[in-house]
Amino acid sequence: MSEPITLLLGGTGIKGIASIGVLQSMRKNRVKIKKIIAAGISAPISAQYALGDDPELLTQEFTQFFVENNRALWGLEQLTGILMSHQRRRDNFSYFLRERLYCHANFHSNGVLSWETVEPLIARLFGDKSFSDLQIPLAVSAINLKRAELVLIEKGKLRGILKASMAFPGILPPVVYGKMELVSSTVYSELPLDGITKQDAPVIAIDLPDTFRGRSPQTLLEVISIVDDIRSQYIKKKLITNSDYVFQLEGMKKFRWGDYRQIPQIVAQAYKETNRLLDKIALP
Amino acid sequence: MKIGLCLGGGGSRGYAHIGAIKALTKAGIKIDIVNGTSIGAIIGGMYALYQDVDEMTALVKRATAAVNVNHFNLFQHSKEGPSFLQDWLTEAICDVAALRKSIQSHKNNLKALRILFDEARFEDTKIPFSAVTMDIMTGKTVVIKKGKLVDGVVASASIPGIFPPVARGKKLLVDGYVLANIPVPELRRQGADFIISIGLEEKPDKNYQNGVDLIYYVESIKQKQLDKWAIAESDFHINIDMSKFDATHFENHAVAIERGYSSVKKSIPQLMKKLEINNV
Repeated sequence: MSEPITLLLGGTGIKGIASIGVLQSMRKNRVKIKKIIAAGISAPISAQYALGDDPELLTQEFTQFFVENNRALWGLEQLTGILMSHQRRRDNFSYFLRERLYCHANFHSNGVLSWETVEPLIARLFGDKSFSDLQIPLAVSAINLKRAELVLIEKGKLRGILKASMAFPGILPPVVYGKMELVSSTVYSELPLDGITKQDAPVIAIDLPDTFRGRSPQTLLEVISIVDDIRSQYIKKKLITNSDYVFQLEGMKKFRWGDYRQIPQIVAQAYKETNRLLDKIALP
Repeated sequence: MKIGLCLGGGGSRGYAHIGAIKALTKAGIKIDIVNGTSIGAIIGGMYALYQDVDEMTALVKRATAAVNVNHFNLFQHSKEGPSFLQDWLTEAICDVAALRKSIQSHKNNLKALRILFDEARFEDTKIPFSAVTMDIMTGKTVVIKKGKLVDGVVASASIPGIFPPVARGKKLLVDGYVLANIPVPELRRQGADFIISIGLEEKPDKNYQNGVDLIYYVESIKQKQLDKWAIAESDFHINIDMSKFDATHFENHAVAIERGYSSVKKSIPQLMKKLEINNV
């Protein structure tokens, strides 16, 4: 494992927190990382790692953040495709209310949450730090709404772009960053596979598979959610051949993108599986 | 050598396909096999069944006059801001979104499709035809080649959220646009040697006003990429510029047909050259 690798991290919603476990495993196995390309919640995790901090600290930070903001995040975990049977749905009026709230918020504003909830966490973690403060080069992927294109940001202040990496349409409003208006690129493809160049080889892409399918959706929101996911998964599948190694963390199938009560379990599972997969491959 | 015609989806913009077929027929291009997604499947099915543009135009006129298939587009706001009716409907939509699988039923669609196809089956068409759909249970594109045309085409045009998915065995079928809005690879697999594909170009609205607009806009970026991949596999692609044409208003069929005709007519000399190079 002498040759440094480029690590590709992404993941939809809270599932991206698995990147903490992945980076812990990379550190334990002394894998040299020459660059990280990240999308979604993996971007702040990667930035923290690239600053030289222990990724484990973020497990505590995120867990605490979700506990403290439980009320503001009301319903998030249930909006994430935890499909319910007809019987359970009939018995669970709150499920109806939560879906309705999500719909109402998106007709009247740009998402269910406001940045007031998330901004203090980003500010506390990264302050005024820039990309130039990082010990490992980092590229953060996002969608620029002004030009309808994917962009890779590698320079400037960290705060704005890390916010943008988590601006999931429908959940958080877009972020103005210079002349751009950015949202998370994970809605396009979970992994920032568009950002890979020849110089990045060898690339390890961390894939967090989902099991959205196979159960009949009961509501319009579930139908739309499944369709959007199918398209993103398809794009990911088409582009994933750009990477040299794909680590499919199969154990991630049991988690959903809003499972914020399971953060320690997500991290532990990702750590265990990355260790196993690193043992299996012989990096050049 | 088999010439295949692949017709893309796009709501009422798809009536332009009738004009496109008219231009191809006038140029003497003989189509051997056809497929389509959503409105592309409706027009493709009609072409495969009747092989007569005038009859197709007359049937479309009849169906549009007899059945109101327009759906009120809640995702567009008036310049003055949402009206009381829009506000009220938005709330109603949110109730529906959390309780049912779709805003509308297939009732009116089926009425209109029965006018177009009656009881005809895929097996009755004069040239092979297939309708492209997507199974949301497996996430895979499904090509329908058998059974009643109405049943296959209605599944292909079941826009998720607007219309309910169509159950077929263990499958839950929705509009094929999800993965194959311009189903070129599907037509290739069915034996077409030279594929002429037709897309209905629209420029997505960047002026989003709420989260729903934003989600729709991001989906249109994905759509662009998926279309790009499909078009790359086509032998000759024609984009009909259908921007500023409301996809929800089916009564404007005459305008769409004319746009399709003039757009494809312009591409005919280039297409003929390509066909000649390919010894077709």
